[in-house]
Amino acid sequence: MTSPLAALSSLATRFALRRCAAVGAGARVFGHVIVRGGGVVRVGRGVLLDASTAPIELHAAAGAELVLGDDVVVFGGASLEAWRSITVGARTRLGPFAKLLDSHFHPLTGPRHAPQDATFVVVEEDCEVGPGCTLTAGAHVGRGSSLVGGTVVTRRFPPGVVLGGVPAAVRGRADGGRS
Amino acid sequence: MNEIPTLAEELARFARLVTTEPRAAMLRLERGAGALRAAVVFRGCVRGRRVNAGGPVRVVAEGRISLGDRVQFAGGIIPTELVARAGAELVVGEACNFNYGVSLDATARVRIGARCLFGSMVRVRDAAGTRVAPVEIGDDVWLAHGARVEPGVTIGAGSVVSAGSVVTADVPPRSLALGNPATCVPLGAVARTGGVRR
Repeated sequence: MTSPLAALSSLATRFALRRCAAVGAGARVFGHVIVRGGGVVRVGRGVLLDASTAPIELHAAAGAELVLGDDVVVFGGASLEAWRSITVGARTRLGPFAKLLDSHFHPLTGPRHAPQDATFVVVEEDCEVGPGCTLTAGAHVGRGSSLVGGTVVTRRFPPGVVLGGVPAAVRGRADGGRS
Repeated sequence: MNEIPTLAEELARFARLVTTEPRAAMLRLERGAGALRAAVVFRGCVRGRRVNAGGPVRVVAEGRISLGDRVQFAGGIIPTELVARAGAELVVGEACNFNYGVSLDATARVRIGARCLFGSMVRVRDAAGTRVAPVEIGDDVWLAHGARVEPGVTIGAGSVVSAGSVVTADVPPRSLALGNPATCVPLGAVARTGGVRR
């Protein structure tokens, strides 16, 4: 038997994530989570969206896909904006005010509003994305990696490393030793 | 000839738009709401024509805030804030675009040129601790998500500040500023020309 309170909380989560194409069992939402865009948002089992400090935005534009794996944890102020594809692997934690965006949005030169191709952003399983990190078009963080707060990732990195800096560089091995 | 339509005619036209093109009608409503919101939140500012606030904006206008024509503020998960402290000047040129969560903080003078693009969570300030030095941002500058501009910096026209960069020294015109602290590269050396990559 589930308690009435748990039932109510589950109902609130269903309501907050009503625009998602799929929501796994045991997903939980605290605070204000905004799901928008005409694309597909999938939320895995046991995902925790903790927006109690600031809202969380899950945005998949028409034709785009945004996937949160099982047991992913997302903190307040995080914004995931998919114009083609964003994938977050199982058990990964996204810190407060993290930004994942798979398009550069504007060209560097020429007319600034010329349309841009979107690419992919991938964060594999068991990663730790620190507060205020930015992952932009083409970012691919390998399994078990850890990102220092404020890191800006723009390209692919091997698994199991500590990344830091603007733009990101390998700072060490994620198991505690230096690389 | 070009007579001003009566309110009834306007309403009838809008009702037709709702039935034929609901999306366009929705956009028009949002724009109207943005214009109204701008009129309220920027009431203490010098404001050009068609300034639009698509989301909440926190304004502290102890000094002078001036917004050019067609300046737009997008709504989002974090409110934008414009602060001009007593005696300060905060000038935003025409047709600048602001994403959500931008923070402009003027203690002495912050000037922003025309047609600049501000990504989300960009922070510009002209005071840090006891150091106060005016900030000048040229025309057509694009500051990407989470960029930070520190006191005393001048950014030349047409430059780009990449995401998460911290700009502590002047940026020449048509350069890419990248890193923390930011280093500059001429845009001509790194940029593909605009449009969709094929």
